[in-house]
Amino acid sequence: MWKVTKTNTLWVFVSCSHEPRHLYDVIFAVDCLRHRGVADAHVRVFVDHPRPAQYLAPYGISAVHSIEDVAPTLAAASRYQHVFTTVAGHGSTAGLGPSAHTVSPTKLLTDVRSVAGISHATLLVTQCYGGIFNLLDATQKPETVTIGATNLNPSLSAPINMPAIKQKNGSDGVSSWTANLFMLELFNWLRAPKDVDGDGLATLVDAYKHAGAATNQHLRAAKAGLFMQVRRLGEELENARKQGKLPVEIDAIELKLNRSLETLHLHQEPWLLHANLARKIQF
Amino acid sequence: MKLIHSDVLRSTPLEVKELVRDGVYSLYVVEHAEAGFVLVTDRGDLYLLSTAGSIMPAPNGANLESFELGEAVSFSDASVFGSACVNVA
Repeated sequence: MWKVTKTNTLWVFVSCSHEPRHLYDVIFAVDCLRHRGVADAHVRVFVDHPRPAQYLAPYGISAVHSIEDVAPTLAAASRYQHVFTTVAGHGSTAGLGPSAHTVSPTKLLTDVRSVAGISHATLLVTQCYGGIFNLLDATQKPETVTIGATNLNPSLSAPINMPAIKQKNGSDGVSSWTANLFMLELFNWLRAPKDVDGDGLATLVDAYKHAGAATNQHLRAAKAGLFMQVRRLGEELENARKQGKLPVEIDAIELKLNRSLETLHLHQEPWLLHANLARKIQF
Repeated sequence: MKLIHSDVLRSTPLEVKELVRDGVYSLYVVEHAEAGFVLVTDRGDLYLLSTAGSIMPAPNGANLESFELGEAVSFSDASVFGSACVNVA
């Protein structure tokens, strides 16, 4: 068995997205790590958002780099036994990010494994088409557990409400956004790890089981409301077009409708690669 | 980060405000003679918003760099639509 402590693990976040919701996902995750007693010095955030500081700095997240810096930054890291990398934001059928700058699964895994001195690593892929990261050689040294929020299909997000996350100045921050449910629930588990499968241990396998089940519980509850919302948005869209509303309003209704339809009709199935290692990683 | 009640932007369509709350659209405070906020859609389209939320087109050729952006903005009140309540451990 091997235990994740406050200091022996480097926590890495990689988010390809211009949408603030993906930064909120990272803000919540970092808040959970702080709750565990992990110091900010052990966290690295890589984004391609045009204005990340406006969102992350108020929450005290300052070690923010561009996506292009993943390889050199990780190659320069040392003194860790484990690297826990979370991929947030958008994914594609080729890996991460827009097609012109896609980061392939093999490239990201190579970068993660480049951290000097680590014994093993975890790669948590929460973005769309996360299954692209499945079936790589997990036993190559350093061995890697990969957890996917979804397989070869989109990853679902849904609106959530929670107690406000505190900003650095003590004021209330975000409490409601369209969250990546699997990422949210996995870090919610990390905030207060517990045994799920009854073996008396809180391991990465328990984190996976909690996040997968909780995500699908959220989705099941959300779908009932979305059915009615889709009907209402369909009527609103038709009326807005007839009434010649502003394009920005019509676009917003259409986008809400399309995203609601996607969440209503898609299914999400998580997966885990290298269960033998995952069972040994304790929290 | 600035959290305001969604009623402050009383002239902004509900669905636009929902997408800001969702974190799909971005909203920033801006230093501008005629506007209080800049709105950025998921496609990168830019709009100016008055302090009451009336939407105006951004000047031709404008991009984010054209504006002196202040804090990012979201809403302090919960969505009027159904949302999952997450119990944080």
